[in-house]
Amino acid sequence: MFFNSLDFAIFLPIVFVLYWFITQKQLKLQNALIVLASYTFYGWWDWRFLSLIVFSSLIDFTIGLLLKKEEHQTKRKLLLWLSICINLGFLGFFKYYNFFVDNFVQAFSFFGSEIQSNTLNIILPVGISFYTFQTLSYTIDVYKGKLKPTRDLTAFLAFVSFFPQLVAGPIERATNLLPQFYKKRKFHYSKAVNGCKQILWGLFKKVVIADSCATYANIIFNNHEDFSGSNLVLGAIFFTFQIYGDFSGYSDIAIGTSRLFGFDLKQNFAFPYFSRDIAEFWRRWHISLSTWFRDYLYIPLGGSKGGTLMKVRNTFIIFIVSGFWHGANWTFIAWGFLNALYFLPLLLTNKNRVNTNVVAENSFLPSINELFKMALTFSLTVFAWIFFRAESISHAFSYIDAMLNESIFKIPEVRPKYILILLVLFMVIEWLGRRNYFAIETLFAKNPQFIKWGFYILLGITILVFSNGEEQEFIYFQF
Amino acid sequence: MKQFLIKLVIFAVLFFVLEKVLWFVIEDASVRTYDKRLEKIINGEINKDIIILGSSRGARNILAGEIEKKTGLKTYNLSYLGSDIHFHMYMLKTLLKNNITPKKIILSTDGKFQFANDSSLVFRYDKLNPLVKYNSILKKLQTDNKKSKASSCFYALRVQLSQFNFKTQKASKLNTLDSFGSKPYLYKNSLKNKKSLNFDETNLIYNKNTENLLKVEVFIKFQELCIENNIELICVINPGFRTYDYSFTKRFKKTLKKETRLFIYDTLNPVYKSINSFHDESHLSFEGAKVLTDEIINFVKKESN
Repeated sequence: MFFNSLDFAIFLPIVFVLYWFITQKQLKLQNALIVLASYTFYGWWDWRFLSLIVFSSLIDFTIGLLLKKEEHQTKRKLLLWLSICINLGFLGFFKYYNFFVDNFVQAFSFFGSEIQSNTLNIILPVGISFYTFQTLSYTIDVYKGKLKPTRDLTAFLAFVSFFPQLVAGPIERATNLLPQFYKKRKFHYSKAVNGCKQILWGLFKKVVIADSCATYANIIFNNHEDFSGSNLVLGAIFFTFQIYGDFSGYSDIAIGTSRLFGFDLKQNFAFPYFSRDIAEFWRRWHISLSTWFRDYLYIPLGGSKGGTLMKVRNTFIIFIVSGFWHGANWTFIAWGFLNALYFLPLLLTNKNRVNTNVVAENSFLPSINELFKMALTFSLTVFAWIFFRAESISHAFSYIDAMLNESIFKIPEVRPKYILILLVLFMVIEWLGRRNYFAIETLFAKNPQFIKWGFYILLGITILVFSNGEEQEFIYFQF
Repeated sequence: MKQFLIKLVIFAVLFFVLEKVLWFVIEDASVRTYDKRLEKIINGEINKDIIILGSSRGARNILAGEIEKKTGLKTYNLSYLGSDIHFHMYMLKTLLKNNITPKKIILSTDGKFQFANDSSLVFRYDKLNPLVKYNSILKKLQTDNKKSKASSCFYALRVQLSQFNFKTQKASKLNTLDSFGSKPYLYKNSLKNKKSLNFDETNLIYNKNTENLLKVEVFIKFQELCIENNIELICVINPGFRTYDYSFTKRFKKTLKKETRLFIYDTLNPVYKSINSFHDESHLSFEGAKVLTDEIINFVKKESN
């Protein structure tokens, strides 16, 4: 079920009514409703893969309880590794099996020995990368003693499968989300209103910004040989906004929906395209994944505490693994590698934590220096996205080759005026709201009600006009 | 909660009412379209004896005005560039629903593309979109999943983004409709373009495996619909700047009902080997179209007598 579908528009009010009016008196019943709703939400796509979520949840629930009982450190470690192997085993099989087989075959043929390729026709279960990381965080936190294991199976099943963030995040930590299932939720007017606003803004980002940009990004990337360098730059910029609108839009809808049910999820995007350096970009982009890798991979590897060599090694590991998490393709690895290259100079000169505040925090406009830094970071990001979007490494290089020549200075033939105007308006709104949790949280807050509502109605109409009745899949579903 | 629900309902009602303003955009879209043939069909304004259906070959090669002048039968061309048999079927059904049944239908065919399982010929949804103010059009778009079911309630889901460009459509020189619905090439293709035009003497071999079976099925239903309504169906094999495609005709004949008549252009006529008769390898120039139309007229007359 997509957030931008009629099915979801019917599903959400039904669950909302059942949640607040029928099951609100009993916490267990309310959690059970969330589990049922979440499984329905997921099963709408393919019910067969529900068994994977249930199995994964039961394994981690059981291992959590065993970890509590077990005091022997070696056995505890064994239990932890059992959870890691099972979870990553599923992920590895469904997501990376064919990739590894293909690459082994290619490697062998490179050295002269031909072997038969035994790839399988595997369907990637939607959201597997997200819920796998979520359950893993539970087991690791229980193992480390940061979290008490739960005895409440319903709450745990609800935590793993919570439908707003099940298929594309944010990847919630057990320490943040699980305890919210233990307490009775109360309905807060302001929280619900904020949730609605965030859903509306998320839909706008997805349907209006991402899907409009996708049309042109797809045309340009799929036929890059036919376009001049300036068009290819524009194609990369369109993809830059497509991926941001698509993914941050999904996160906004997920967080907003959770708020309607009384839950607080962590912010996943904090206006990353206003970042002044790559380190800041990574603190603002897909925060839940970046912090997951930081806490469960980077820090256990030694983080930035060791010598220069260790810092370099850990930086490359975390960025390459993060790239590989996105998909079984060398393009994602290259994207991660490139970001590591961007990040490394900042880390080695201890400048990776210079820009931790909001840009132009106390002024309306950025300084020339900030503007230059933002433009530079944005350009580096746009360049890196070429690898992310390309079908293969050779496609990426061919795209870059066609882009970086004298034709880059030509006036692009592709100039969809309405999208360019929309993007400017979008960035203006994002700029105005950069101090908030999401862009329109306090927009028009001081204006009369009719202006606020007029703006929301305009947003709603724009979303419907752009949606044109066709559902577009979210990019991050494939991850 | 109560306050939230009340505000939510008020907002929803306000939204529902205010988005109805878009009716003006929807209404205006049909006014600003250049090609009004489909709208005329819906409004029952195409009451003719002969209707021509087809894709660009039908629109460019068959001159409805000439047929009317020489047969005395009221003729109109409803061929749409790039349209497939599904679209022709839809046009025929819409025509029969809202207008007087024609006596004859001339269906222009597209050689190997007629049943091809590719997107060279498509259902021209873009021609339906500006007419969503009509319920029958909206229903068709909804049935074919081109519009959401919710578009019955929300005008914002009916309107196309392009309809906010409030300019009246104008046809290019090459796409000017004559008053009989045909789109002949009145302007000659430049010599530069024609230089690359060479008479193709290769013998095509029709591959049945490339067919979309649904298109064949729809064509058979198209014929059945004509029979049910006592319409004489004439299928036209068009000339190309190439040797006669016997292979396709042979296959096409197998799909024909006995009541359907097949017109094949005069393959021995030297006119079809002259570059002056063609605009490009698939379409006739105005001069070429006149020759083909005359042949069709003779065919129509001969059998009618």
